[in-house]
Amino acid sequence: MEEITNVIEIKGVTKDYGDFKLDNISFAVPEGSVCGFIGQNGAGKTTTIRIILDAINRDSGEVYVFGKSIDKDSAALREDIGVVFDEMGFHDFLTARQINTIMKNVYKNWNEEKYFEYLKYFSLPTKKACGSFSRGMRMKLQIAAALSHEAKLLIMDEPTSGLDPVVRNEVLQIFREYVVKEDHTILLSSHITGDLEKLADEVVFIDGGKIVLQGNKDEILEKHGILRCKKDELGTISESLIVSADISSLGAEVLVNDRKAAGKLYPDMVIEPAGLDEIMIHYVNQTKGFNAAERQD
Amino acid sequence: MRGLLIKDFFCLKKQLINYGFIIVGVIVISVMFILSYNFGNVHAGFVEIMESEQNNETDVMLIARSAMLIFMLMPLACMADVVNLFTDDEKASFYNVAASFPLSIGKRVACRFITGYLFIAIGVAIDIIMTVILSFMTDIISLGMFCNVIISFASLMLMYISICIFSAYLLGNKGTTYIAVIPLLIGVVVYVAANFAKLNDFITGVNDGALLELYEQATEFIFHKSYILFIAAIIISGVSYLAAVYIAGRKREVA
Repeated sequence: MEEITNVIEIKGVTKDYGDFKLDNISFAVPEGSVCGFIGQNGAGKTTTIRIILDAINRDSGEVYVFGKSIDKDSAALREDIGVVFDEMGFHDFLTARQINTIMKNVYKNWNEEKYFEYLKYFSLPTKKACGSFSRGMRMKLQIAAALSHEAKLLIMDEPTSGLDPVVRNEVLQIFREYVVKEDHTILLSSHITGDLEKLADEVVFIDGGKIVLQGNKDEILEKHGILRCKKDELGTISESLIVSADISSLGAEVLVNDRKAAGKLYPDMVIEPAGLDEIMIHYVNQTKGFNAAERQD
Repeated sequence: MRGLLIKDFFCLKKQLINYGFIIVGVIVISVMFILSYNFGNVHAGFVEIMESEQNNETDVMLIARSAMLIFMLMPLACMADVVNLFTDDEKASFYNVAASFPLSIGKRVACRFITGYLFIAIGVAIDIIMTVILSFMTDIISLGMFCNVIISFASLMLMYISICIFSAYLLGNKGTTYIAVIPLLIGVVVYVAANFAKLNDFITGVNDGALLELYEQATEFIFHKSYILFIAAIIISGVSYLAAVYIAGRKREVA
């Protein structure tokens, strides 16, 4: 059997800011996959990404990128990582052409030709200060820069948030093309689960600084289901199946963690496939303590 | 590393144009001053001072040299303004981008120092041009003295920039407002501590000439003992760099 190599491996990482704590998180991103890093704003996605990049110190735990500890030579490892942040990070007065001049002197493998091809593809002006760009254009500029130094790993923090659907679709198409190459991997943080449903192979779901769910996206979608029932029927459902329940005057909507088992146990109830969005909302409710029992009280 | 240096130069490009105007202005004013000192109103004024207030030629020369010192300090002072680099980076959140570059913290910090020193080098080059022009036109300051002045001022600016950069890392991105003031405060404290007795004599009225003595002592340093300032600048630069790398390694959230 072929051994799966993990491009990113995080083991027991903790970072305490006082008012927020990244609490003993562990997950891995297999080579050649697109890993969706899902969570609400402030869940700890950006902190985790910054720890992977060795941009901030962690309190404890280990981080491996391309099988090597980031404590040894994180600078060299970053040569093969393309990064896209939710904010552009380049100065407003810089032009795309000037950014090329900077980047070709930063990355050994900077591909100028590819960069200008991306700029052309994205219809980005080369001589205009990027401060005058729209959010979509700024994001495209970052993506062009991240894809132009032959990076084997793309780490993106909310790259599609604030983009209109047409641009989002264009951007997702670029990521699909990027990951076609076997050794290319993407870690994509987002709270827009629709994008991840289209693109991700793996998902890691973080909430309140803790990993609450992780695994193969299709398996997670296959396993979970939304069970709809009357309020008084809620008590009959096995607690071990319930992630959380949303109760309204119309009835109860329950996220179950084993759709097949629930289907067998409760053949009279309607069980529908759950989307990542619903799964996320229910897991957040669960961590906040909005479980079935409490809601019933 | 070159990429970050280029980025810094792009940041300071607009500033350079403004400084260009100031420096050209300073050169023009200093040439006009020399011409006036030799043949014009300044010459006539000094003659009048010497006649009416029983001042001697040495006193008049001291005033003229002080004016020359200000002219020579201007280009270097303009070039030493690196604070904008930090405020620009903070405004753009560039430290996120810099942290994703394949550069170690030591290299990223070194870039900041190198940019500062390169700008000092531009200031020195301008001062050398001024020296060549002015030394042909006047005998207020000899060529040797001019060279000492350049080394002294360059050393002072090296110290200023080094402490500025170190302060930026120490205070973090939110402290950029204060970093230009910190080296000046340190300079004043060190100077007052080193000359406390003389300053005290002047304040308490024990020695009315103490201030003039201090001024002569300072000009003696600038005109003849520039090597001491230069050695101090090298030591302060080295210590500032190492301290900045240490702090940046611990805090990280600074470009």
